[in-house]
Order: sequence, then C-alpha cells, then structure tokens
Amino acid sequence: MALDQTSKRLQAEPIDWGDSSAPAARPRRLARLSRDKLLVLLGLPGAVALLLFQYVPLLGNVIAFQDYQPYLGIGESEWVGMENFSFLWEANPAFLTALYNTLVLTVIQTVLVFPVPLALALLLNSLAGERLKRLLQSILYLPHFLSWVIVVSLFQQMLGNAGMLNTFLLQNGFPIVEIIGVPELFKALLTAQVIWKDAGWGTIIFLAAISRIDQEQYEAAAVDGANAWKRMWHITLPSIKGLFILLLILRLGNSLSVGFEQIILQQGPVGLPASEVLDTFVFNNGIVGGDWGLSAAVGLVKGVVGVLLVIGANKLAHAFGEKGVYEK
Amino acid sequence: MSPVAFTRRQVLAGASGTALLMGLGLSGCSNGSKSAETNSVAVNNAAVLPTYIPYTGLEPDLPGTEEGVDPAFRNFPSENPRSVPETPGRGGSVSGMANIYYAVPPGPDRNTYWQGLNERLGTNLELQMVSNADYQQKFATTIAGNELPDMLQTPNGSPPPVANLPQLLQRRFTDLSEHLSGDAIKDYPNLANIPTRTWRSSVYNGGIYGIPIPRGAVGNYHFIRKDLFDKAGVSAEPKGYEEFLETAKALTDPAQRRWAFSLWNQPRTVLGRMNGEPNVWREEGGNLTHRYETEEYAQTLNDMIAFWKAGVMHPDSFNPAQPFKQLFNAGTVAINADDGYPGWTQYILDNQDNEEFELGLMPVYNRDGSDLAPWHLGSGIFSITMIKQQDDPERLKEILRVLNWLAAPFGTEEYLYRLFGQEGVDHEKDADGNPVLTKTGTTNTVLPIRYLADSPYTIYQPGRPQDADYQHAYQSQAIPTGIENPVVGLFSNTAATDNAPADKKFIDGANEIVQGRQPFSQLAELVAAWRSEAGDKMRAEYQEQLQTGAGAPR
Amino acid sequence: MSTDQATIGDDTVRPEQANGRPVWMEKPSLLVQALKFIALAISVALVIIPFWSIIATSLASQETINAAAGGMVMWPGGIDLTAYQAVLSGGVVTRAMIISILITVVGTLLSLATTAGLAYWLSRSGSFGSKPMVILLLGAVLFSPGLIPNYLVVKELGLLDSYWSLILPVMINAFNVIVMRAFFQELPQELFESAAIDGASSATILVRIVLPLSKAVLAVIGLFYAVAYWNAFFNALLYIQTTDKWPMALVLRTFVVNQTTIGGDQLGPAEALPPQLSLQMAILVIAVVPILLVYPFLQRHFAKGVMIGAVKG
Repeated sequence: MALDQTSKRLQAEPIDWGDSSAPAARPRRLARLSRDKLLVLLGLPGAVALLLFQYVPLLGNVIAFQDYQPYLGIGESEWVGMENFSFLWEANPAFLTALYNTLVLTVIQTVLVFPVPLALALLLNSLAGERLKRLLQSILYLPHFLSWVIVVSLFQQMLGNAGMLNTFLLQNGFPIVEIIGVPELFKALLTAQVIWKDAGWGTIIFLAAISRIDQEQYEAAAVDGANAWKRMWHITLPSIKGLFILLLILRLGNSLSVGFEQIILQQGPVGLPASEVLDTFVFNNGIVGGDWGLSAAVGLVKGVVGVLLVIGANKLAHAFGEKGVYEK
Repeated sequence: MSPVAFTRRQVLAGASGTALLMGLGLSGCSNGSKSAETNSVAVNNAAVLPTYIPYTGLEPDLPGTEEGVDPAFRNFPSENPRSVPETPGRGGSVSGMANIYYAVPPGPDRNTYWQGLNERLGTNLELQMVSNADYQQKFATTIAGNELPDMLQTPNGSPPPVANLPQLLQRRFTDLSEHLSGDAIKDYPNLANIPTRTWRSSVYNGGIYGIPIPRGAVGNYHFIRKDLFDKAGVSAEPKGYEEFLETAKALTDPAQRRWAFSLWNQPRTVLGRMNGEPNVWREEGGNLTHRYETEEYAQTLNDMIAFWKAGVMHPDSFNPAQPFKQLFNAGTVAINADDGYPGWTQYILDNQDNEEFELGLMPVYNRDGSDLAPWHLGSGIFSITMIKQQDDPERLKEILRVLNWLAAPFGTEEYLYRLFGQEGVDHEKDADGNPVLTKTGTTNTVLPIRYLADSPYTIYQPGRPQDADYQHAYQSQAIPTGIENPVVGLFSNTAATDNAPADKKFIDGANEIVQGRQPFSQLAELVAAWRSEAGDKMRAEYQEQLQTGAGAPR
Repeated sequence: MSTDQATIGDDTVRPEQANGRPVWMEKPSLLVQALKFIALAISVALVIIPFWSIIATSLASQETINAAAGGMVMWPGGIDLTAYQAVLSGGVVTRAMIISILITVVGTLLSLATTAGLAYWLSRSGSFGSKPMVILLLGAVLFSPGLIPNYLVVKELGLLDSYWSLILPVMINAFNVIVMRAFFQELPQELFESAAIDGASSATILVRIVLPLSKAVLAVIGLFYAVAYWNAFFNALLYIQTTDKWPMALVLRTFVVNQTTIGGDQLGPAEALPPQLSLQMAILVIAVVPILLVYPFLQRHFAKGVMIGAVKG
C-alpha cells in the first residue's frame, strides 16, 4: 500500500520534517519524491492551477517587447525590442514625478498604514468581553466591502467642498474647510481613505494569529505579576512577529503599486503633479490608448523591482533570525 | 452549474505552456500582411455610398430637414404600417455583441419580449451585452480571442477608438459594398433610410464595412432648469458673455447649495461656442487647426478663470465622477450644457413627480450678444456595426435582413415592437394612443439591439406633445448656424489611440490653470506637449486625407 | 510563534467572570479604559455614520435627496422602497444572487482544499520540490499576467461562458497559500513526529491534526476567498457571454456605472428610475449584506485559546 510505504518512510526519517538545513538526512531526489509522493499529491491540484492560470498567461508578457495588436496576436505583432521600456531611461519629468509620488506613498503606506491593523487588533484583543470584541470587529471591517468608487464618493459627500461638513459650516457662518481637491493634502487624504477602508479588515489575520496563543501563557505571566502591557509586549507581539514580517515583506514586493483605482478616481480635482503615480502614469500614457505592450513592460519592471525588494527584505529578516517568506 | 468537459488531456495540454501560448498567439487567422495603405483616400473615395431613400410611410407632425433637424411626432402614430413584409431570418441563430446603458434584461427563456423578437426575426438572437464602461476591454479581448459574434458593435466614438481599425476590418469583417452600395441597398429599405451623412463613417479600405448607428446632427443639448431661471428672475436666453456671467451669478447661492454649473465642461462648452471656437478642427484650404491651438480657445480659458473665480461652478467641478445628472435633477445646478440630446427623455421621466421642474434648452449667443453663435454639429453616429466574415453569402444576406428589421423607422409596427414590445404585456396605450411601458416592459425591452441597427432619431416625448414642438424649434434655430467637424468620417489611428491620453493630460493642465494653480502662460506649453504627443500626427493623418481628395465621399 | 510546548485538544472552558474577563486578568485602570473607549468609539463612529447614511439614502425619496442638494442624507424622511423594488424587479438580480452564492460556496471550498493541500506540502520543509514551488508562489505574487493572455488561456481550455471560468482561474491565490503555509509551519513539529510514528500518512496528518488545529487560519483564508469570489465581476465580464449566467457583482455594476456616463446614450423610452443615489446605495446594501452574514459564523473560530491548548511538554 502506498500509504503504508509513505508513512514508513516518514517514520524512518522524521528528522527531515524538522530542520531542512540539517545536512545529514538529505536523501536523493527520487527517494524524496517517493517518500513525499502523497504530500506532493495533496499539493498538486493547487500547483497545477497556479501554473496553468498564472504562469501560462505570464508567458504572454512577451508582448512587452512587441507593438501588440489584439487582432494580430502574439504571432504576428511587430517586435520592437526594448521600445516599451523607454520610459525607464527617457527620464521625462512626468515619469519622475510619478515615481516620486509612488515612492512617497509607499513609504507612507508602509510606515503609517501597514501597522494600523496590528494596533487595532491588539486593542480589540485587550478587551475583555468576547461578545463586545466580536461586535466591534464586525463593525470595523465593514468598509472593506465598499468598492473604491463608493469610498471616494462617500468622502466627497462628507468632506467635499460642497459636502455635509462644509455645508454645515457655510450655513452657520463659518469659513469652509477645503480638504478634497487640495494638492497639498492629497496624500494625507489617500492615507486616511486607505486606513478607513482596510484597517478593520486587516485585523482579521492578526486576530487569527493571536487566537492561537496559548492562554495559559498569559495566565502564568499574570500570576508572575506581569501587567497587561507586559503581557502584550512579551507574549502577544513575539507570537505574531513572524506573521507581521511575512506580510510586510509581501507588501514590499508590491511597493510600486499604490492604490491605482483609488487614485485614478481622484486625479481630476488635484491635478497630475500631485497625484500621478506609476500605475496611473501607465494608464494615462498607454492604456487609455490601448497600448498593451507598455502595460506589460511596466508590469515586468514592477515585478523585477518587487523581486529585488523581497530578496533584500528576506535577507534582512534572516539576519534578524526571522523566517521571512522563504527559508535560506 | 454546467460542468465542463475538463479532461485530463486538456489539463496536460494546457500545462505545456509554450505550445499553448503559441497556439493562442497564432490563433488569429492570417491572410496577408499588415497593409495600412489599403485605407487610402483614393480607394475610399471610390466607394459608392448607399442611395438615400427616406421612409415615407408616415408623415411626421414636424418634418425633418436636409441640414439635420430631426423630424418630430407629437403623438405616437395610431397606424403602424409594416416596413418589412417577410420574416428576415431562416431559423438557426444570429449572434451579436453591443454595449448596454441599463441593467441587463432577463434572458430569452424568461423574457417574453425577447421570445417575441426572435419570432419576428425568424432567428434566435444571441446577444452579449456589456456595460458601456467596460465595453472597450471586452471588445479588445473578443478581438484577441477571435471569438467573434456575427454582429459586433465598435466602441462608441467617431472615429471608433479602435487601434488599426482599417486593418482589423479587412482581416476579420465583411466588406458590405456589394450588398449596400448605391442602389443595391434597395433590398434593405430600412437601412436605405439612414442618411448619407452617417454612412461616410463606415467607409474603410474602399468599402462599406459596417452599418452606422445614426444619431441626430444636433449632438448635444444645452439643458437648463427653466424653473430655476424664472425663480432667479433671469432670462433663459442670456445674450453675450457679460449677460451669461451675470445669469450664472444670479443662479448661484452656495449657502443654499445652488450653483450654475456642476462640471467644468458645462461652462466650457457654452463659452467655446460663444467665442467662436472651431468644432474640434477648423479646415482652411486643406489645413487643419485644432481648437486648442486657437486664439478663441485661449479666450475661453480666460473666461473659465473668471467663472471659477466668480464661484458659479460647483466646488467639485473638476471631479469627473461628479453625478451631474443627479445634481441637475435636484436643482443643485441649473445648467447642464454638455449632455447628449436623448437626455431630454430621461430628465422628463426622472422628474415627473416634481411639479416645479421645468426643462428648457438654452440658445447660445456670440460673445457680444449680437447674434446666435454657431452650433457645433455632432458626428452623426454612435458607433458602427461590423459583420463577421461569413462563408455563406446567403447567411450574410440573412444577417443584413435582420439588421434591416432592427432599423425599422419610427412609428412602424416593427419599431413599436422593438421599443415597446407587445401591447398588454410590455406596454399599454394611453388616451392619446401613446405606448407606455409596463413594469414587465421596462425590465424586458432594454436589449441593446438599438446599438446593432437603428433608425434615424425622431423627436417624440410620450404624453407631452408640446415637447415635440419645443425641441423641433430649438433644433431649427440651432442647426442652420451649425458648423461641422471637418474630419468626421475620416479615420486617424492617432485619434483612435494616442489622442486619448494626450487629451487627458491637456485637459488636466488646463484645469490647473483655471483653478489658478498654474499661470496662464502655461497654456503654450500644454499645447506644445499635446501637439508632440498626438496633435501633429493626428493633423497629418487627417490632412493627408482631406488634401488628396475631397475627404471621404459625400 | 511560541507554541513550542503544546498539545492538542485542550478546549476546556475556562472559568470566566460574568463580564467575560478571565479570573487572572486584572481590571484595567480607569485611564486605560477611558482611552480605549475613546479610541474605539471614534473608530466605530467613523464607520457607522457613513454606513448609516448609506442605508438612509437607499430608503430616501427623490424629494428628500433634492432637499439635500442631490447628496446623501442622514435621515430618509419616510421609507421609500422603490430603489429596492427597481433592483429586484424582473428576477435578474435574484437569479444572479443564487449564481453568486453557488460560485462563492463551491469556489471557496475548492480554494480552501487546494490551498491547504499546497500549503501543507510546502510547509513540510525539505519535502520534495517544495523550494522551487515556494519561489513560484512568490513569483505569482509579484508578477501578474495581462488581461488578454488570461482570456486566451480560458478560451483555449474551453471554459468560456462556463461557471468554471469564474472559479478555476482564481482558485489559487499565491498570497493566501504563503500565509497559510506560515501558519502551518507554526504548528508544533512534535505532533507530526509522534503521529508519523503511530503510522499516520501525510493525508491523515493533514486531516486529523493540521486542519483541526488551523481553524482560525482556515476561517480567515476562507473569508478572503469568499469575499474575492463574491465581489469579482471582471472575469465574468470577460468570460461569461450569456447574461443569464452573470454573477451578482456584474449585474449590479450595470446599474451603477452606466448611469454616470457623461453624454450617455439613454435613447428611447424607459420608466422613470428611482433616484440615482438611492439606487446606488440600495445596490450597495443588497450586494454587501449576504457576505456580511457569513462573518459571524467564522468569527467564533478566532476565539481565544480554543485552537491549541497548552501542553506540559
């Protein structure tokens, strides 16, 4: 029986499941396959789907080197070499502005936005009542279900120059507060919207991780005299550090993508210098005109940058003794 | 759920990615190389347009004119003659894809209107409907996948925003000249009822490559809330720039959340006409000047600065997502100067419960108010319907007969069914004989067949005979002053591709100037950027066509 | 994570006080309580107010909306259900809702099964092929294929106009696999060793040990998938040709996007639509409510301490 064999192998080499860096027990490839075949079989449907629906279409990115025309297909579209990548070295000011805005937003979103769900999760977790906690969480994750179109229009309705807030001020003789449509405040506005929409949603994964922490650890710590703050610092945070770092690395991998839909919807009032990011630059310069090659080219560049950032961040994580996304 | 035959072999075949992808890439049929030259002026001029044979079966209350005033009916004709004596289809099915502006209707098995339509057409009409916002992307993938329906609507626009449209047409779609040129169109009398002006836009590669969806020459209406004008005590016909600005000021009261305009393009359109801007392009001796390059445009931009400063524009006017129709219905803004003329019907319906609401149309005078400003005529088409290459000429004729049925003129039996469905089910007749859609009819009749073939526009507002006179009078006043966009009917690949992003950047920059974030002097730079990114190329492509011949055949 | 010493199955209910606070937990100071209260009250208000306004507007009549200058209202001023009636009439939306529910249920189950299988394989470090596969997963997070290649693959597989085109292409989300793998890796290794010694196969270990211990992450990833299936409209737009097969997200989209078009071509007669804004908000409510109902069922899996009980090593 295959099952039996597999399990026997497993019995024989249990150590291999522990630490892969242990060089002693590294069987030959075939032997490992035969040992792990049931394991591989379990993962195979997912792996096939990934290859078929992610990697096969990824081959289509060769159109980055083409003047791709849908009616000609890849076979007949003209090859244009690196022409679609010319935005990289032409260094036109509009592109540089877009790059600058993208980087600033990435920094803001990584430093200011990314930790918010964690903080909120910790706050929720510190509440005693389970029912209250669930209720609050159910409320806070609601905005995630609104599309960006709706979120943007809600902000407009509430805070716009003719919105509820300003109408109230105007009708009561106060000067209006311009929030939306002010280039200087645009990045702050984007940040506020992102937090509003997704902070509650982001708590879910942290709460799941926190739920796995052994309650007895808390109890023991409490008995030892650790207060709530210390328990959080010494038990909760270390327990979810790995996950936090993992998510952070994945976020870095997508650094050059910052809220395309959110931004494109709001460019009109503030103008391009304040609002253009890489994705909108591509959209405004190519996609609107059906330039498929350009969009593929930018996708490739973003992917390559993502790869570099992930490798770097992962190395850094390893240096600090963390697992990161993949092992050494 | 319908399970798919998803065999192991297919999965394995799929997994060998390269082979699959190459197969995909080459799946487009290949007959001949890229040939941009076939769409030259000379060949296009040689194309013979269909003979125009207007439908005479019904007499409109107010006749249309050669210049393009739409005919008008005060009430729906009580007699509805048949315009197509024979069932067009031969059984089987015909497929089509078009954009839709409404929520989708129920499918044919639960939609008696659709079933009745199939019966009348003598074929199963298989329709793919795509909301207009997503149509371009769906169109591109449909082309790339070469999974074409028999009848395919181009995305809305003139020229249609499709890269290399002439080459695409040549490879995948049918040259209909043999069936439609000259008197050949007499076999399809309802298609012959489409004015010559609109057919020009379907000529490519020297042939007729589609059925145009005709639209009125008037293009846009300058809608106003007449009731709000009256309340503010201002004339609904402001003469000249000063009076227009004063009128706008009188209509504005931010504390009451009232403004004259909701979006930047509303005053822009009016001011542009006032200042004598060209209708997009101006042609002088075969040379083209774009609106953006003119003195008049600079003047308009200056005026816009004044309007913005005067506070007569809604503070969120530069937000393109501004729900301008909603603001107009709510009375938050009083002038909606840049909206398609079919909006009339929708505004009337939206406000039928609002007693105060009075819809009006505003004439535009020139800057000093001495005379009417020239009207900017519309392109005359919504889109064109292309027909997939067919192996069997009989089948092609069947498709054309189906389109002929769908193009049945206003008031005919076919038209009545096409728009209002079955009496007693989809519509009821009111006291004056006007069909009024029932709940069922409202849901069921919104098939986007009017984007596959349509009759020329006819003014008619159910239950409001006075509206027919009002609109007809407005059109009769405006259209004689009209100027054409000289490039209508010509195809420029740059216009279909690069112009959209360049234009967006230009408008964005111009709006920065209006809001005072950039100096006025920035305009020159904007124009230069627009010219180098799209403008000059577009001009060259159009000029070549204008200069070599008399443009497209007229 | 610090679950090195752990055993399974300790889900005894701990003694709690009436307010839900375990006996060992001290009562927080008044200041801390006040700060927490303020922070949470503000967060909740920031969410509740706009949502209240969405519901109020969905019920408002045109007059009420006109009085608010065409904007959203905080008070509907009478209940007007025409917007809901307009959306639900004709049965198109109800049918689409059933389709969406089916796709979401079937899709989420398939996604969870394949994701768990893949994550389990890759979580066993040193297992055959796991390293290159992890790299491939990361690649899938970082690089995205274009619209047209996706379409062509679906077409070549014969999936056009089939419900499977809405499930299979998005069945595996690399991000979710990576996260689930990380959770699996945190499970105490001793469990596997002892199970293997007892003669359990990988499949048995997955089903008997890994999954029961991972309810929280399964709930989270399941929710991620479910929400993605529920909200997806774009694949349906591209792959589904028959409108009768459209999922709800796409049907509702036609209500919203179409009527905001500048210079729209709404030719011909139609019935008066309910106020634009009410309609939009009603659609929002209809679209969001079903998926919201799922959440409370998943939430209990996040409850503290029931997943992995402590073991004294």
